[in-house]
Amino acid sequence: MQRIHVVVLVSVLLAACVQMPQTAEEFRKAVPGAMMTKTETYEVSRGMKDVAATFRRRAPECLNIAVRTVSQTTTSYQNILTEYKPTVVVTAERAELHVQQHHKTGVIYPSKPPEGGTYIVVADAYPLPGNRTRMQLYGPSKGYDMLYRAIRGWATGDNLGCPDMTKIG
Amino acid sequence: MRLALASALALLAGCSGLRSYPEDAAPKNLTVRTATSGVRAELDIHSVDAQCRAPYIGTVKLNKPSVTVGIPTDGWSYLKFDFASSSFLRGSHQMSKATLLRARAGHSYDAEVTYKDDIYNVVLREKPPRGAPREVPLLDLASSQK
Repeated sequence: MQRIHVVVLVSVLLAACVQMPQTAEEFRKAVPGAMMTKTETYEVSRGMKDVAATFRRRAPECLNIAVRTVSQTTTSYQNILTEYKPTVVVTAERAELHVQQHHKTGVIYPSKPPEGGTYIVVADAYPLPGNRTRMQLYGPSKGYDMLYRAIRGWATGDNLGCPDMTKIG
Repeated sequence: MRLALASALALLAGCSGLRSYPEDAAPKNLTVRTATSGVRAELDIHSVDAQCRAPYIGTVKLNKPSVTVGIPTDGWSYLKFDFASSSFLRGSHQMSKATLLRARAGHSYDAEVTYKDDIYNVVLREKPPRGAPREVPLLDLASSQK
């Protein structure tokens, strides 16, 4: 139950009584000023093309999923179907990984979510000299640690595993 | 009382729909190496027919560091690795990673199954009778028609 509230709360706080970010770029701009969000920056010793290739390979396999959460107490019953949608965009300037989350059932949105669902994490990979890459991430400050860790593993190439999205929140 | 309890447990086991994967399904050609923490890992094995239907054959509990099973070499199999956890506060959850495999006679297979710090992975390798092993990409069920 607590988990569900956090998920909804993040969406609400990002919406902040105005329209939800409808694009990854709007999300990038909204995160620094929103509560319970963070930006994270680090460098990895891999070229951006390799990072992009790993995003392209792992994101669809790991993040194109649906998670059903059923919680029941003596006084309540919730059945939430959550779909996740990853998008990878690669340009000469950067490689982007967008992760969207859409609650198909069990959640009421405070405003219209974008096509594909609410943006929860955007990770940008920028090329650096010396075959290195700077990672810039935007997203919630709590509850999504396994997703951040998975993205770091893909960026470094050290761990290509998938995040257990049932542990979100 | 004991009989009643045993009957109830037997009934529950039967109702769960899970059955052990037969030891004699095929010559043992797949070694599953498991390193997990905080979850129960299992491998469901299905056969796959020409219409890409995948009838369930049985389950192998991945509760040892290494188990060896036999995957038939006369067609496609569908291997589904499940990672299940449950707790009082969070309830029960399960994540899966699945792949089609067309095991080849004379080859052996090695699956490395990991779950640590909420990150899970399955890496499948094929070892020919001679030569170096190669990683086998995980294929979804629809790939059996290709």
